[in-house]
Amino acid sequence: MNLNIFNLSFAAYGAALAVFGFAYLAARPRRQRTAWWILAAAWLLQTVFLAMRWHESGHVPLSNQFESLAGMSWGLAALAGLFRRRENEAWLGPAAAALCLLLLGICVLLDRSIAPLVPALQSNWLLFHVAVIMMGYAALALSFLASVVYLAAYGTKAGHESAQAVDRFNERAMALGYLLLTGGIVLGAVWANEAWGSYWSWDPKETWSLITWLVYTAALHLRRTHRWEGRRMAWLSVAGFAFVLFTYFGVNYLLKSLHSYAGAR
Amino acid sequence: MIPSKRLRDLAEFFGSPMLLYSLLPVLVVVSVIGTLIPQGETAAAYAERFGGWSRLLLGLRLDDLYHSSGFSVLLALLGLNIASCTWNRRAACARRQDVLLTHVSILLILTGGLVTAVKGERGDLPLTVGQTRDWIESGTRVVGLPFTVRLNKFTVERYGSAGNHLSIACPEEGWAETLEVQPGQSVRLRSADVTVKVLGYYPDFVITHEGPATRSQAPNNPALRLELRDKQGTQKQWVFARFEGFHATAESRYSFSYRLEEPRIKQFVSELEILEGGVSKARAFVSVNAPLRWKGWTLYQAGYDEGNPDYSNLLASWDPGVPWIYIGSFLLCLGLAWTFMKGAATK
Repeated sequence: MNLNIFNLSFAAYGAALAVFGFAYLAARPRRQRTAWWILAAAWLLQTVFLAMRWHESGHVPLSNQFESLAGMSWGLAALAGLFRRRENEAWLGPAAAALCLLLLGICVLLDRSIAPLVPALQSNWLLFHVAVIMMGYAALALSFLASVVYLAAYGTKAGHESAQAVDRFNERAMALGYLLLTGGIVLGAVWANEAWGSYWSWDPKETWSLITWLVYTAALHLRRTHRWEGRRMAWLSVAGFAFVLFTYFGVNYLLKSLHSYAGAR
Repeated sequence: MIPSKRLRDLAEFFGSPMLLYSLLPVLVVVSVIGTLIPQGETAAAYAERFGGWSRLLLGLRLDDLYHSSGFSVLLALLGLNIASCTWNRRAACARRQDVLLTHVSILLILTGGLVTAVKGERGDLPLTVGQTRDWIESGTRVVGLPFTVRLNKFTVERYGSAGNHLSIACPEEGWAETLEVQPGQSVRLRSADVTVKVLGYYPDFVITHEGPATRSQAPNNPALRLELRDKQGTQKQWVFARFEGFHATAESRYSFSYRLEEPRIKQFVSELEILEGGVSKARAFVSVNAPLRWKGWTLYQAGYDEGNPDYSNLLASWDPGVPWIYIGSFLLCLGLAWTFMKGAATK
């Protein structure tokens, strides 16, 4: 597999982050627009890379941790672009570019070879289940980023108008991530019933997905029914994302799971 | 009918947010514990791993935590909480149908789980080619199937063919080389003026009265018969993948190591026949992700045996909880999507 396009995309995310940084440090906010264009180019290159990998392997590039992580960063950049259309937050571009860069940096450390699919993964459900889950994680990552920005910049200025905007962003990203996470778990259950003969096996990956879902259920319920917002909501989002990280990385490396093929080879 | 005050108080308690916010962390902690303690192992395995603590662990049913009565009570309380909350706030729910839908969908999913646990049957259906079977062991019970299953053929498909990796070393001359060889093929080494020819491949080597033979095509005892040609002449040599010490011969200047690398499994497929009253009713191929459904039962391809190419392990399941789960799951996604769209529209 030719990884030149992957490396180009990686470099373009880095360039986007650099231009965002320059726009901030040189106090030239108009340069943000240029940075967004570079981010879009990086995303397009990544799209080409994933499409080529799909073509070359003959299956959707979501069959191991390298591919799913690359897919998650792709989803993160796409969602950041979509959110930007509605809420033009200055922190969104640099934060998304930095996280994409970090995710692709982790990808570089993983096995990038293409391997044939094991029998359990030979199903169209692979695309639906993993893609929806990864988009969910990407949305929850955006919620996490908003929370970090909130805690770092507005921790003591809750009433500030821009603080409220970040708080609203956090809620929207979390609600979208929660919806996608729910859909992904449901699709996984349908697939498990087709492949393993049981929609729920209490496998560690399934259980940790449920745990993550319960944490976000509590967070959104507290938000909607008890008006939790600001710092408290930001901390809930940070905690929720810690569960996402353990479900995605921790289970693969620390626990024995039927989802072992999701780990790095 | 107006519910009595006691009933209203009970509904208020069971439907309180406080109960929900107490239950959720407990469910999280208990679920985490269930992933840290291996589930469904033998008492001896727990004793070996946890020593004296294993008795406490087994006493608390932490070995099968998610099917324990304690965990069932937690799920029942969650269901009761959602049902009572929905009832107590029925006026608000009438205005927020998305919330009502979400609550009802979770109740449907919990009901589906209950139906699966109480009514579902599930067990292994191991078969060898030509064998028939009309029962499974579901837990500790024997459950009869309303049909008989016969395994006509079982195939393990692989990506490519097996690779014979042969390492040859000559300590006298100080060289070593590893190469992939195929039966009938001659290979000249790069390190020395030596040619290796594979005279034969015996996947399941055995000595019979007629001489060396293979018991089966399964790679139980892979062996290669080699011919080595060098300046000093020609020698013949046996190499075994599982018995490295057998390679050495006193007169040989070379040492050998042989490894058989099986290609990755692509798919395993059982060719099944369904019989009713001794009459053939259907023939079907069952593979992973492609189960067979017959009279409410589903037959899945579950496993195989490396040592017995005629053996297929199927899994038979009868689960009336599945429709509840699917309907509940669909409604849950619908309810959450509705809430999300409403939120996006009003902010």
